Amino acid sequence: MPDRLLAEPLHPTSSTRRLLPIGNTLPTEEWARRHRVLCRLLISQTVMITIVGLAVGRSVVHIGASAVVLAAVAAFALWSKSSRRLRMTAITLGLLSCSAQLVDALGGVPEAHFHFFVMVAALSLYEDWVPFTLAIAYVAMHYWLLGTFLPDLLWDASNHQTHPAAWAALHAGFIALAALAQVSAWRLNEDLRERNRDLLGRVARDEVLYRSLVRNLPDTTVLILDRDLRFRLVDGALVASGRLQPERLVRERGPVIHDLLSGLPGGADLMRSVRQALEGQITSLEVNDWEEASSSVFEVLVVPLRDTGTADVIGVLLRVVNITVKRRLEGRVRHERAFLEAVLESLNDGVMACDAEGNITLRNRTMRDWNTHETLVSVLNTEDYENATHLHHPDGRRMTADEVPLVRGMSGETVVGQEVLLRGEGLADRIIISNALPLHDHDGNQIGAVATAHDITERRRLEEQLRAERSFLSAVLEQLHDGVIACDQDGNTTVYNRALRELDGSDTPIIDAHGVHKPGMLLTPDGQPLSRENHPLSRAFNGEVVRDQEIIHVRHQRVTLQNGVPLTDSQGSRIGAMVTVHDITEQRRAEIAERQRAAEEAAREAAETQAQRIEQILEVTDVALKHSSVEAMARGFLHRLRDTLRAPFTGVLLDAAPGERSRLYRLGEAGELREDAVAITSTDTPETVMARVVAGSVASHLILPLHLGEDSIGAVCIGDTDGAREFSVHDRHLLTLAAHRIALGVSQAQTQERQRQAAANLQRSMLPSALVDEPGVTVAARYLPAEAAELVGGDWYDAIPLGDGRVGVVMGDVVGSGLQAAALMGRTLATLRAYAVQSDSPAEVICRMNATMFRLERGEMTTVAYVIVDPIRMVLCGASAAHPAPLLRRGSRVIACQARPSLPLGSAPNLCVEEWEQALEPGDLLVLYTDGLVEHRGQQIEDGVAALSRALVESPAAPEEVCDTILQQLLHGDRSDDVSLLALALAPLHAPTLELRVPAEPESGARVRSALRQWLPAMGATESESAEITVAVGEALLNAVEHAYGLETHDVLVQGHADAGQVQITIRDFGRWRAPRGKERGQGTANMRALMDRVVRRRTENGTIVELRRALSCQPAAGEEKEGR
Amino acid sequence: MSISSLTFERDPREDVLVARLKGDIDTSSASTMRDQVVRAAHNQLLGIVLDISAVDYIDSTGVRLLVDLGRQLGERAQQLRLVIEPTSPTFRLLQIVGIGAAAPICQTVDEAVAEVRQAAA
Repeated sequence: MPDRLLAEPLHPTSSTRRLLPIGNTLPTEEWARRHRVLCRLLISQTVMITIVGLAVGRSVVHIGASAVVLAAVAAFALWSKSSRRLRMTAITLGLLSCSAQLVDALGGVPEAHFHFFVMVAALSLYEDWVPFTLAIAYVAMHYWLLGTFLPDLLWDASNHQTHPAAWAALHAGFIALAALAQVSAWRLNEDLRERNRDLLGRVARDEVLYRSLVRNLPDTTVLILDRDLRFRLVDGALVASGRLQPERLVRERGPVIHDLLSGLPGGADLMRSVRQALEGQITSLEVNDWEEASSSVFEVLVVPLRDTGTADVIGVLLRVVNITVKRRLEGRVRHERAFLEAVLESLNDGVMACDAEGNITLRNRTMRDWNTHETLVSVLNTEDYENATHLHHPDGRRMTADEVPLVRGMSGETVVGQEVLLRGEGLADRIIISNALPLHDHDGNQIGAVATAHDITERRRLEEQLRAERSFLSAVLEQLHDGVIACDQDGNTTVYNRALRELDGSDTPIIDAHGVHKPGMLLTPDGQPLSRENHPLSRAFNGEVVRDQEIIHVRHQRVTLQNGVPLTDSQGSRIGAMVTVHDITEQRRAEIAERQRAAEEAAREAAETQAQRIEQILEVTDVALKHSSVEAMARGFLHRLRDTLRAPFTGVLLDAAPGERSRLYRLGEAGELREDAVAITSTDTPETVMARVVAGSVASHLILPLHLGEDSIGAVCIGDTDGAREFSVHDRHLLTLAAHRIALGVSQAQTQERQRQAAANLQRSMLPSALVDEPGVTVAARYLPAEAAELVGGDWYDAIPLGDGRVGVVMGDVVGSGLQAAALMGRTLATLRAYAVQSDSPAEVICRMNATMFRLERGEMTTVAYVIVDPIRMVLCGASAAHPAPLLRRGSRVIACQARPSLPLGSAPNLCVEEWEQALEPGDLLVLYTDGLVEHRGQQIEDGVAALSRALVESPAAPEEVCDTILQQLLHGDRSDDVSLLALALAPLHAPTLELRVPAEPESGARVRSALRQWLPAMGATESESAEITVAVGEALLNAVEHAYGLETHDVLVQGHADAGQVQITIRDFGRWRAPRGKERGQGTANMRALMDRVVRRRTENGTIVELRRALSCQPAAGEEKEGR
Repeated sequence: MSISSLTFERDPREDVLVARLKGDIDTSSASTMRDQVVRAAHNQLLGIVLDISAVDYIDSTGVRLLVDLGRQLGERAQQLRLVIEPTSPTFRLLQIVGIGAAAPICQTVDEAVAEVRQAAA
């Protein structure tokens, strides 16, 4: 449509034709509408003709045919796809036929002819020439033909019939006039349409332009409302993005803007703006996006639209611009500006800027701190400026305004590195380096200037300090006695001090890193000229560290030691090399003098050495005398002899008592003492024996006899293995001195050894050799005498059978040592035994012993630990007086058995001794010991006890092995005290065999019974079985006691064996059968037979054997333990 | 409680002496016990009840002692009764040796005392 609207005007420009309508100019829709009206008209006329025909009585055939033809014509016009003109022609002919038929049907009454005019008027709706011309032609032809040939049909008046042509022409003329009138109206319509079309075309063009304008505006949407606030135009970004749909908004009865805005955030504000616009106000507001998910922001401009003529408000325009990005950018700019300001604030450099008018816009923290430009508002106000700043030239002159960096920058100059002195009242002087430059915008217009300043006060101060230090250093170097030469990384000499200049006899270096300048002035120690490569400076320059290189300076005949090092800075990069030169000429001369003096000194010292050795010998032998044993003493003095007399071989031969072999002690190669037995015949003297012994092994020797009074007790020998040594008179003198001392020492050691042996022997003889062996109890003990003779003796222990299977074990240590202690210990042991059998209370036994000892052994004391072991009741009961607590091992645990500590026996008239009790378990191991076991030099007693506990836990079960293990683990080196150890084990009676040897006396019955009462239940016997077997064995034992022996007492052996639910017990005596004594016995054998399954008695040469057997009712249960009573 | 000691408890009840024995009765303890019992049995007593339930061991010497004791008391027209439970370990032995002939066995002390009084009456 717009294309057609924008086409050329339709009417030709010629004046004649302009008056006439063009025809057929109706728009298609308009034409079709009118065509449909005319089609309906044709149909209605057809119906009307038919009714009229029927009414006037026309033949039905005629009427039907006519109606069919007219209906066909109407159908063609209505539905045919043919051209407009053909369809118009059909309608025209159809309608005019209707008029013709009506005239015919009514018999040609004049009024019927008006129907033609009505039809022509109706046909003018087509606004085309074809219907008109066709109608005129039809009327003319119709009236002429019918008027001529069938005038009756046409007219009811005769005059018409006579001149059909004239009437036809008359009718056609009227028709033409009617048509003419229609054409005028038609022409006016066309004009009007054309004007409208022009107007619409312009509007459309404007709209297209406006729409393209709107669409090209970024993020802009335009909405136009009419006075009713309905949308007239909606276009732009929101439409393009699909947020607004114009087709839904811009409609004839479309939504009013209220409907859209109500309920939206900001909708009320926008509505207010729209209403204000209707009153002629322009408003602008910001609204947030009405879709919650979006964070967009819109700027809405609301403008009234005014009629161009009347200036009335005819609508409202809303311009919606999406300013989200703009807002975001503004935020970012603000952010970056804040960041930039923070950076500038944090700078240690001062920054200052001004705008194009010279107003200060920026003065950062550092600049403010410097307290300059404080009151300055504009840099261009020079007067103001000079009063407001403290800027000076480095020489102290005050700066004029045009010398100031920022002002220079404002004037378009770029300032780099201007040095400025800040000096003001109450301010420390500050030197700054300032840069300045003008600022330009994109177009090159100056928009201000900026100046930065860096504080170099500290740097200046350091530079000053460095200069001072450097001059101080060079002054020091000049004053040094040692020469110094140094070069930088380029090899240029930087230091060449006075001392070295004087040595070289030159003001310039003889050699530097670049080369040798004066050949032959420096020599190596062997007299060769020093090449540049070998010079310490060159070597150091090449990275080598040179130590004490000796160089001869020819000029003044000086010798120097030179040290060179490469120089590096703190980062480790090489910055040069340095050499120090130390003059050792005088030192060299002094060394030569010293060597001569040393030779003289050595000679003198050699003379003094001999005298010193005598002292050493005496000292040696004094030390040797302190040794207690002969071996220890021999080891001591042989070592000292070897060292003092520098003799590789030293030996001593000690003559023995008659009948014993003499002993030869000497040192092996590794310094160890070797001891050999040597036979001495009656013709030999110790010296000859010694000479014979050493003859094979030494090349030269010196042998002296050992004398004690008149007796010769041996010989001492020193020798040299390779024969280079000749022993002088002086050596002999020394050895004689030593031999005398050695003889004394040996004598004393031998005496001590004898005393020790005696004490140890006495001690051993007093201690029990065999300890009790009660059933279920095994005891082992060890006694080791101290190595030092005077410390032997005092330990005592015993194991005493107390009846009923109980065993008392005791361990004690008499205070003191030697023979006296051994004797006291013997008495104490006897006392204990006496009291032990009288009392069941260990504390009571100890108290009684104390009373005895305090009264009878005045001043003597002993420690004691006494324990009663009851294997039947399975209980331990003990008491101690000042003795280490007995230890009880149970599995991997060690229990120290002790009550409150007490004083030793004999220390007070009444001792307070507490008793302790400890339940026993099968397999328990009890250990008693003296402190010699746990007390070692350099070690805490607690550590010793801990070591003992560890050894105890690791020990095997049998007491003998326990003793061996503990002694092996705890004793190392010399024993300074006696060591005693007693171990008691509760043997589990689980073994299938039992062996008891008891004296043949009635009292043995109890012991045998107690053993059986443990063993039998362990073998599976019930309580009554156990009791009955015990009675049977008791009877057999009683028989043996009564029948076997006379007055002499011997043993009875009881052996048990359990196997496969059967117990066999053998009671064996070793006497000869004799008639029974006493009359009360006779029932015994009968009891045996009644109680046992089988009783066999055999008499042999050596005695009688009774075998008892009984089957048990049940098998033994492993680990079952029944306490006997 | 000692293993092989014999303890002797007198429990005087009017006319019958009740003695309790504990521990082992063997050669070394038998005659001592017999003497003590005989000494305690004064003439006014109808008889003596020996409770040997707590005796762990009694051999032929002990049995002999009990027989002798029964005989000695019998000569003085005094009764001897032994108290022993059938579950006691020594019960079977005393059965074997036929102790009942010399000293009848009862199961409780009260029963034994009653028997003594009955026999005396």
